[in-house]
Amino acid sequence: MTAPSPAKTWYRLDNAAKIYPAIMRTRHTTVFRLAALMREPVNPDQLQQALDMTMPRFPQFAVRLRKGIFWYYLEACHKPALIEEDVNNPLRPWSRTDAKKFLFRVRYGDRRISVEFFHALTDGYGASVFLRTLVAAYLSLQGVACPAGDGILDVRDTPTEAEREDAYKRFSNFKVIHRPRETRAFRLQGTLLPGQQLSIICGVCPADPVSQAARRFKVSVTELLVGVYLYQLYRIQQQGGYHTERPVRVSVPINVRRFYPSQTVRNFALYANPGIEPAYGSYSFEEILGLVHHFMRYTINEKYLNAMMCANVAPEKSLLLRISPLPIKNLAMRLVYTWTGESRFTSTVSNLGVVNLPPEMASHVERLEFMLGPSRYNPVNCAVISTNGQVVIQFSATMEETDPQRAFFRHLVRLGIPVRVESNRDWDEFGGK
Amino acid sequence: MSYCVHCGVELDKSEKRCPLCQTEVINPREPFDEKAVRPYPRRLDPITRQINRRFIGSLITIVLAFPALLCGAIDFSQAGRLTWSAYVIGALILVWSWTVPYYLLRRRSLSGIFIPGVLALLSYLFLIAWLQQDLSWYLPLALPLVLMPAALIFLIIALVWRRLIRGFAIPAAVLIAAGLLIVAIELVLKHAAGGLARPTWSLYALIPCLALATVCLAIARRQAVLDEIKRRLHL
Repeated sequence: MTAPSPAKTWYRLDNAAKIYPAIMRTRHTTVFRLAALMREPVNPDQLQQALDMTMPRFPQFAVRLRKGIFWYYLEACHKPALIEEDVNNPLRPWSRTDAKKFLFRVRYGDRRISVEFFHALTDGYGASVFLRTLVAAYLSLQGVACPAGDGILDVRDTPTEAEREDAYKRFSNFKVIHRPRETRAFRLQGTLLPGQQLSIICGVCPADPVSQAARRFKVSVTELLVGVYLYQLYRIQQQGGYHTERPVRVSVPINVRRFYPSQTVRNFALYANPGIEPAYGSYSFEEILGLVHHFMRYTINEKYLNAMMCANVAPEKSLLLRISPLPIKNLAMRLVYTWTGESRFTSTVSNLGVVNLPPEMASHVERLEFMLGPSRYNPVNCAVISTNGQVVIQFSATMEETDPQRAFFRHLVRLGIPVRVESNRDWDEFGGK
Repeated sequence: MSYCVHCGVELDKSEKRCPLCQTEVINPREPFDEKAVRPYPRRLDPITRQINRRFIGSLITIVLAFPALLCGAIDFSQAGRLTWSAYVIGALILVWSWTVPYYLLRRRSLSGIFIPGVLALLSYLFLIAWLQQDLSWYLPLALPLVLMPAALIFLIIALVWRRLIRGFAIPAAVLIAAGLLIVAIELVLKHAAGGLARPTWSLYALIPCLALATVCLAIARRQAVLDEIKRRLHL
């Protein structure tokens, strides 16, 4: 067991987190959300108590973002974290006034407890640990004891240094610094929603038909969903009057904890961008699925990921970059992100995988939900999470048209997967039409 | 439970239409329930813009004020009054009047930004004429040569802003305005020179402008051609 560490007053941003404050915009919030849909309505007073109990266990989240001369950093914030009511357009970016507060929000709706995290703080796995621990604390106040372990921390335990380490630095071995070059990818275009709005379309599927369909094609569930999405994006590109020769790529975040013994609840994820080159000819669904399957197998292994990790960490070690003032770094990071980041893929599919809940918690939680924030260039993003035998696929979009979402869910239905759809659309807004 | 007849997906009770294809839900056994619990509340979270516009306005003011004050101080210390520095200060005020109102005004309007800018330009030209002690060119040349393009630009922007013209009608309007402006400029120049106020060379510019504007207007009326151009040239 790792020894408890003394309380820290500030933290360096981890390697992945360094870019997020620089690239955050109103339409690129770099915020994501995890939610637990409870079976009973949420009691806000008990949720606030549960949050007060949980916060001391996560001192690395009780921070605010500050500007140094050379880098951003996280400063310990001793204000109480307050819950907020849920809204129709979650994932609001952190404004100037918000910057004095925590970099996460806990919201409650009718039956929903949700947490929104600024990506500089943690990744999807870290957020799921926080949410499950919070829900366990909430249920304990209602007399339901949920055992700690398997992604649920005991709020009475002392936080450890291992939970807040920068795992990128620890595990990059610098044998190879390799980053494959990618050209600009096809970009979806459509009517932008007014500034405040976010289109959320959530599809819930039973897990068994999804895994059966994946087995039928001899691929994993992530590969199946990415393959379906890529195929439909490719069809939209070919039929929608776009530049038909740009590659269609989907960015798939990978939880690197599978390959390294890290307990960190900060960022520890990398990305694979499977895609197709329409310039080479036309593709069938089976061909695309095969390409995705082999690309993922080629990319997702310890050695390839370590090379990618080293390529990300290497610039951080450069003396020239380190001594540059923060405004120059911000400008450089924005430029690099514009050239090599979001423009290299068409959309994102982030699959958090199967998130286990202990039986005591599963009987009170209907499902978990996962949502990505809007991006600046790519108007539609997709997030997937599986719990309690359900696969929840949530599309968040800043585009009015729903062509990619419609094509994706229709394809799942054609594969024999029943889909139940709900949205945040306010039909009264359209005159009840 | 209701299904979308178009997409084949099951729809939540709160959905009056399929959120994927907008097809209306018609299920006589289970009609749409207005009171069904919605998965998301109606309340919108207001998003504050990341950029503090008033701060940018103040910053530009400071940046412009600094050289203006410096030039004024140097000039005054040497000549005992403002001589050459008046040109610099006037130019900086002109730049300020075109840039800063955009950031400082809470409710930005075309007239609130454009008209003060044009007035500032006229004032600056008057300042130059006054400093040179020669007002003879101001009324016959400077005033009409500023007001005519300003009025045409204002008119076109206002028409576009209010969506009275759109698509290919916009280049048509710009071409007509440019042709007419060239003719007006020739007339003003000839009048100022004391010659006969009849257009000659400007007609060679007016005729192609009008011809191109006619083509644009013809395209604007043909939706199929417009779609083809949009498909081929979209960025």
